[in-house]
Amino acid sequence: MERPTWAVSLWGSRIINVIDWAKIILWTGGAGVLALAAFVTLTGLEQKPVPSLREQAARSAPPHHEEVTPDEPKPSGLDERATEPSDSTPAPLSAEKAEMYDTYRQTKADLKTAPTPNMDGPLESQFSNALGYARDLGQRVEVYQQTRNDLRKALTAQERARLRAEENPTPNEDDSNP
Amino acid sequence: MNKLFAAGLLAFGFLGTSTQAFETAQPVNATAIDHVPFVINKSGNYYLKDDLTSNVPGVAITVNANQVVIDLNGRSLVAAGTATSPNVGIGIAVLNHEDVVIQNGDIDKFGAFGILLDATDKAREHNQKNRLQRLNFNSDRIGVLVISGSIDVVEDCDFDGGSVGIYDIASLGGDRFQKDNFENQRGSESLNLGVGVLSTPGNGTLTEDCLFADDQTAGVIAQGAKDRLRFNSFVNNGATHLGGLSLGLADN
Repeated sequence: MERPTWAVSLWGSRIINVIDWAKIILWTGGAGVLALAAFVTLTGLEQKPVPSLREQAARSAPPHHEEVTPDEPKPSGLDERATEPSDSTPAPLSAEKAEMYDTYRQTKADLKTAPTPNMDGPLESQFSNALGYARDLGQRVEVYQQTRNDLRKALTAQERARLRAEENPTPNEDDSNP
Repeated sequence: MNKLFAAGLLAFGFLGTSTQAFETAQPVNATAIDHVPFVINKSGNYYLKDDLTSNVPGVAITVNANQVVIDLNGRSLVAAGTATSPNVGIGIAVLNHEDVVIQNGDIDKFGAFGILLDATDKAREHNQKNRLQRLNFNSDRIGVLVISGSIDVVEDCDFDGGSVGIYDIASLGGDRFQKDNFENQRGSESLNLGVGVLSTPGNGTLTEDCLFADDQTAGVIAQGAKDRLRFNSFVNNGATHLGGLSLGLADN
């Protein structure tokens, strides 16, 4: 039995309609999947690269402007773990090291305050004063270097780096400072 | 052809340069220094005919004139006996004069200073524009002592041993030490410093392009705020530099 003409056309149009809709769904679905993949890639949901050692060290280095307060008491009322030293909050120097550091700074200051030799007068007194000044300076340098060596032995590498940064916050203009 | 001509020019220039290094266009009259103590009272050229040994206290060669050239002529002025005693012998002394050049030779083992440049009256024009060049200072207690100098230059010299290479006191400004080598300055019983360059506060010295190696105390102690260091190399010294410049934990 044949369908009537009107029924064939109606059925045919429905068939066409269903196929069109299937195509639309397939195309939009595929485009959505592609867009989602691109979004994931661009927004970094994939595994991040491991930072280099230099980057890690830079992130964990203490700030250079931090003051050394070796005798500073711990804040009261805080959890003990909160005041433990960490990479980002360097611990203050111990009392003994702080005293050594003060002594070192004093001997360093003594180098600059050595009395300037008097160069007036006859040659003999000039020579005597020049040599006297050099000898006095030699003694001051000996004391300074001894305290510096003692301090170097006592400090950890991190403490030493921090103090060095505080002593020389900006590079000297000459090239000879390693 | 052009290349051949250029090569010829180059070869001619090279030969011309090498001969010029040993000869001058006009003969130069120079006075031989053939004994010590020797005193120079007139401007002019002087040279060492042979090696000379000084074994007397005080100064071996005294310069009492401006515009003097002393060419050691590759020879040595050497201290012996009393002149090697601490703070006694002086190789060459230039007192209150300017435009004095001392060059080309060795000055060894003087107990006080190898060369003294002094302005005893501290007047600016009385110790200036003196030049020491191409000299070897071996085991002099202090290689060069400069007192109240200005625009004095020590260049292309080697300082081996002794306690202090160059000691500049109360510079009136512009003393320069350049392209010099300082090695193995050590403290002693009479002078407990082993330093390449020691500069006390003054109007500024410049130490430039020098090498400091194995200096016991420090390569440089520059105490003047106007003292400057540039382009120097420091190897295995007690400290790199101390004084008015940066110092302390950053040394070495």
